[in-house]
Amino acid sequence: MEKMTDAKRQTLALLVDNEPGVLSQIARLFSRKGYNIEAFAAGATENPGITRITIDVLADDPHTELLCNQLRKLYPVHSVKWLSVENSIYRELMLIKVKAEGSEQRNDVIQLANIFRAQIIDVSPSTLTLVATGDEDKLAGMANILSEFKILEIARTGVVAIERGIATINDESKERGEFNYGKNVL
Amino acid sequence: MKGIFSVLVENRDGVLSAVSGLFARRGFNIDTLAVGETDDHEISSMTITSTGDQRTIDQIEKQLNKNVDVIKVRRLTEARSVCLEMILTKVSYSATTRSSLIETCQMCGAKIIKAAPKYMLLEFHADPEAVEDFIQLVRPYGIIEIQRTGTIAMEK
Amino acid sequence: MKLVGSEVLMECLLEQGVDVVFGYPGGTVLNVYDSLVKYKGRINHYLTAHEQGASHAADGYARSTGKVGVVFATSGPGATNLTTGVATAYMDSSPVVFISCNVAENLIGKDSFQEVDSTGVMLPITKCNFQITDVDKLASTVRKAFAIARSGRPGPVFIDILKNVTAEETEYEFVPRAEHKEKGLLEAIYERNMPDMQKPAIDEEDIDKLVSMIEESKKPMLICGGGVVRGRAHEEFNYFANLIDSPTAVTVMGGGGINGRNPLVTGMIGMHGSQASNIACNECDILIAVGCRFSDRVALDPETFASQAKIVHIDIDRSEINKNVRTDHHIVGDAKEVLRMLNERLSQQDHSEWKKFVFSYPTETKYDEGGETLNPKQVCDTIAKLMPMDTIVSTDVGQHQMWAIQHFHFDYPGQLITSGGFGTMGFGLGAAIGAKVGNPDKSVILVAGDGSFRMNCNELTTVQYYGLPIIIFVFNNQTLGMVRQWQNLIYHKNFSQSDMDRGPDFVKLADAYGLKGYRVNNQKDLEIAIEEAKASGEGCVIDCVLDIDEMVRPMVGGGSHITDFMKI
Repeated sequence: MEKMTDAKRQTLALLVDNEPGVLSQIARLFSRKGYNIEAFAAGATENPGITRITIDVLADDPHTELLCNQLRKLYPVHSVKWLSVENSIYRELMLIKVKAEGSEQRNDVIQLANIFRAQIIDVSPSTLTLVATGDEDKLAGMANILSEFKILEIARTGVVAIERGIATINDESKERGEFNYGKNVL
Repeated sequence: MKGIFSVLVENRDGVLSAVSGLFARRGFNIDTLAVGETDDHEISSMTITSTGDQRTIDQIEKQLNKNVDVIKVRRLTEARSVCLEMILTKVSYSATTRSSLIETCQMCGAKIIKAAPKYMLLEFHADPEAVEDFIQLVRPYGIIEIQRTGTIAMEK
Repeated sequence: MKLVGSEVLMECLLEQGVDVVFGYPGGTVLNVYDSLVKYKGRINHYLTAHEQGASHAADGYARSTGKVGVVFATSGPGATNLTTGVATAYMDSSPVVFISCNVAENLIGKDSFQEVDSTGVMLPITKCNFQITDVDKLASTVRKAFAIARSGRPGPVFIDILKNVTAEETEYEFVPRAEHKEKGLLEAIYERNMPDMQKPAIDEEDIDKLVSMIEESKKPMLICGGGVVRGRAHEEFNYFANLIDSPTAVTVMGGGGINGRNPLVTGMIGMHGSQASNIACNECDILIAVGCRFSDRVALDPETFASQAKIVHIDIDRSEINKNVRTDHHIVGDAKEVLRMLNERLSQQDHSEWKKFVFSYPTETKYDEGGETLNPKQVCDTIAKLMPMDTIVSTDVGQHQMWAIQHFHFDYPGQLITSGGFGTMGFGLGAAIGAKVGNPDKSVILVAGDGSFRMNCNELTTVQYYGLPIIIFVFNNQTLGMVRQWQNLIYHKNFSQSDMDRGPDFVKLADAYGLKGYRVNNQKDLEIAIEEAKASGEGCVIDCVLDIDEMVRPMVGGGSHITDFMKI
């Protein structure tokens, strides 16, 4: 694909049908266009048939718009929102297991954990498992500092984001109507 | 039964669709899917939860192992792992319900990220069941929007 | 009423008004074929030589009739053989429902005999696809599939039914098509979009804005795209073009969207567009494209395309807007409806000066007359002269396709059937079969090249068996003409693997299939052959010998400025 000079991390929020194959179809759309998904979080919503997904992708603005348009075209996709950094709140959850043998090391880890407001969720004779939430930078910073101990394992949920203000992904817009028109003139 | 897979994969395009396609192929719904970076930028970790019978889950594990982009697959059981999920949710409130909403949050340990005149933005993380309970607790106030991360898990 | 799955499928086809199915049986789809016997006379099945032929036939049927085409195939290779046909239908927005069966539930996912992840394979080339694992959901899924195939921007839908589902019993209740939207899976779609469905979808303000843009314009230009054909909006489009008195270029897919003999038509646009079309496109001050997606064969260089014009895009598919070229204004809606609204609001315009300028450039290519061999224009003109005006023309892909589109005049949607988007060689014969089945009262011809025809000529057996009087013209220049043309112009005459200097002899081949064959290399023989073929009322092959170095003119290189005509 063509080189994108202004590529930056973009966040998209989607509402989709909770059915087999839908996640794969969405993931495929990104890979077909040559975009790597940096983070992907899919979870249930208050409506049992609907899954909400947050996707982080590296792309410039025009290509992101194109991606949004292609996503909106898919049948199982109900709505797509392109979130802006200024207007949204980002959070991620991280589990991190570090090696900590002896009380001295363990105390050091616990102290660092406190700085990042991480909780100790599991303790074994030689390891500590921490959980922390925050935006990407905070979690990256924490992982970085903890790397002075041996990090055994990290699991991150991927970023989830929600818009500030009363606006939601469900808001009607002319554009959304236009997309649905093309899909569903039965 | 519930299958929880913790999968380490190459961080490149097409991998996510290949992995999720394995599930789709068997008509198998993915309940949650969380993809995040690890400490190595070249490698992503995925946590996938799904419901199905034992044999299908076994088969999926095998197929996952076969995929060239999959570095490592681990099946986790709820009993022997730490399973966590986070939600962000916007909940509306009125003057009469405000204090009880705040109380509910304090009781569950949810963080109020932002309190605006008509709604509060809450962050909450716990094991998936507790997250479900929390949603039931705040539902009466009026959920405007909700986003769950999907489960991530780590062996104890 | 208690029925088994395969019978439910038949009933659902009847609900949709389907009376023609193309297909090929095999292990997993046997229950369906078993039930087919019970529905004899109500659902007519055409057995092709290959699943690909069936897929093109259903596509040709859909394009020529405007109805939904239907295909049956078995699992594994049956399904994968369909893929080229599915992709062809997808790229050209043709409504076809492909139905295959897969191995039974206990075998799925085990790499069983003839098992493939069919829905996974079809994912990128269908509008939507379904795997049916529960017989109770069969009827509502089929109803949804048909609704999706024909709604909005039409396209192929693929249904994969597990074999055990076709044998299991369920309660079936007849639901007339008009009531589908209140029942089953369709209800959910309707519920989800109710607010959008109830309000008039086309924005009046958008329409008014375009009306004032048109009224301000001095040099308007129209592009008639495939959307006009799919939307059957030819009458509205003709009226629209006349009303704004604008030169009109026609894309490959747009053939038949405007009366081909309308004096406003400038011919094809793009890579093999006429000088009039391409130059007008470059000079105009407003370019209105209806149902056209500005593919790389039309808007060769998106940066410089119609650079002096305000580009207006009318399309039913919102995701096409601003995809290939940046537009100044767009209207999302069904072409027929949008054009009707525009026609109501517009007053008669007059652009004689501008037309005079545009039509000072040729709209057709001249060929040397009186040579010993036939030239492409001569063949097309002779066919046009001797065949009825409303003859349906199916084409394959390559030089002959461009010649056919340049020289025939198409007057109504579905008269030209060609693989424009996907460029599928071997498409034509299957498509012609489908067109003839769907239009028994019209003449159907196939214009093929020797390379394309050889790809799927096995379907001659279908032509013969069902007695379909399709006249096949093979534009035989003993080479893969378009490949040779590129090698000639771009690859320094390095004619690598493009010669077709080998069999079969198409006259003998026709004979082997029980059809008459002719070989002609001059006008007189061609005329005799056509007259004989018409009189016989049977299918036949007319092998027209052309010069090997004949080229499609004019030509603009891919990615070049639209008026950079190559010197040929």
